Amino acid sequence: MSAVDVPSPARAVISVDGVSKWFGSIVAVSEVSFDIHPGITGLLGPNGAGKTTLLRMMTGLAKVSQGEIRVFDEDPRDNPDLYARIGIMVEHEASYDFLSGRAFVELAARLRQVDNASKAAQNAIEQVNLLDAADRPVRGYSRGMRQRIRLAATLVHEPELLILDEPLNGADPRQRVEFQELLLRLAEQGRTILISSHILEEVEVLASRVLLVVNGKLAAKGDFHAIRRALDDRPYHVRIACDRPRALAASLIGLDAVDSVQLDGDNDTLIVLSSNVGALQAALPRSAAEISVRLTGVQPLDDSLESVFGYLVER
Amino acid sequence: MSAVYFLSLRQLQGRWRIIALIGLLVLPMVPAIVAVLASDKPTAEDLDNALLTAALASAILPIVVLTLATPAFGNEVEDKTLSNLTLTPQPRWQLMAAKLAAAVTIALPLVAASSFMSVLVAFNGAGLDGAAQAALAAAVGFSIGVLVYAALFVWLGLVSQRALGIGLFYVFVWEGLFGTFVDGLKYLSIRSYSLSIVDAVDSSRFDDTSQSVIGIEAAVVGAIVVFGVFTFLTIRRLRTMDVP
Repeated sequence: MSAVDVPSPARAVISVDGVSKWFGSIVAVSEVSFDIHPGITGLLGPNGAGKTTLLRMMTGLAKVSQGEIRVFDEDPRDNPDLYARIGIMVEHEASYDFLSGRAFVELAARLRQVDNASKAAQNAIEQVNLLDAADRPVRGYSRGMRQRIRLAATLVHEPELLILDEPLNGADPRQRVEFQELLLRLAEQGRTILISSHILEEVEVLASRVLLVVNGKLAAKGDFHAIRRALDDRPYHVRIACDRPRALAASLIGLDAVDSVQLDGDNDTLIVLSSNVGALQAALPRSAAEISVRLTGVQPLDDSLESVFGYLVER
Repeated sequence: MSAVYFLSLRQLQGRWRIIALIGLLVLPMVPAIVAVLASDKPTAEDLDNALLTAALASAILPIVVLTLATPAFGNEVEDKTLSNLTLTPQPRWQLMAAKLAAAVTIALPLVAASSFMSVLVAFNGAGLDGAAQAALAAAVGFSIGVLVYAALFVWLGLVSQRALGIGLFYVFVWEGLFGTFVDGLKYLSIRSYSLSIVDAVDSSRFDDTSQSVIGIEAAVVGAIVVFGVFTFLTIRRLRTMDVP
């Protein structure tokens, strides 16, 4: 496996060196190494790739089986003092449902020994734009509201480092934009933010640096655009349905954008492999029109995140 | 620490839990009322065996504490809220102390009041002398028992998701069966420590041949050791566990 690797400047806030984690015979994370620097870094990967396990080790919630993790040059394991500098939003949405949103954030402030817990809570709730619902019990919150109140609790002590595991889960499009703007503002203030997601586009807006994790291994790391270019260069399978598949296949095989064509006779469809989907998209209607073939369907076959990440691992 | 303490108090005050506990704590009044109403009055030895040993020390005390102490951390583990506490700069001993204090704050007054009232009513009803001293001894002895059991069950709730079942097995098999009938094991029994302190506060309780009572020095040392060991194990577990 080769990884896209663009070196990052400045000191590392988090350093992960040859880290593995296994549960019995199951390897969840395998020999992963990277550094996290100030700014926003996206931790990307499909569900079950090992992102949460990695984050749990970085936050000291889980022990590493092998390797070393340093946060602010300290071991995060059994190091409570370190949490005064870190805000962590874990994956599961567990909170104390019987508390109001405000009481939950104030509790978080008191646990982090913030001087004026009420004022700090008010500021944090304001930042996530949840003041209207702050005095209602958390049990009545929607999923998006829960995520926001949990983010407020994560921000309440103004940490230098934010580690957020899938924080946009459950957020509606407007909340998503607000959330992204908030994170960008926090990054501009010089904070270090590590945000995990299984949605490429979600991280694209926020992070210039990304880490791609697939099957517990680091598939790529570095500049988002370099990785995106690598993704755009990959060949795609496209299924094309039409009334005369043989005629269309003969026409398409001569195009530069087409690497191969396979007939699927039972369904009157073609499977086209293309390294330049944009060119194929432009040429397909023209080619069909020239030979009077009627197109009834065009469907990309490997647009899923798993196939995108899988491609990077295979390279 | 106070934030965790008040949070824990609130978590442990579920309506159904408190109703069940009050029902449980009223139970020792049954032998007490029987003692009042019976034409053939029970002797002091009868009450020592039936009320102090069988009802209060073997059942009410451990079950009440089990019900309140195992969820102190157990519910946080089950609900996956424990990370809200461990991902903070709170020292682990303070988390343990706050949870233990919350369980004891609810359990101790309930157990002490139930012990005091049931013993007072029973001994008075039976027409026995020294009812107040007997009631005070029961309240003191079982309050010490609350502290020691709470340390054990707070730890159990943190290490096992089946803490309630394991705790009940421990109460009835280890404390109730082995602690009573295997002579040497009473030195490793919280029930024996509690009864021995009852005996020390009111020397007219229990005769010299009682199977349940050990010397007060051994009981106090045993109680301190068990309390110390399990609070230490809880702190250690908080420091080393993979938090869900």
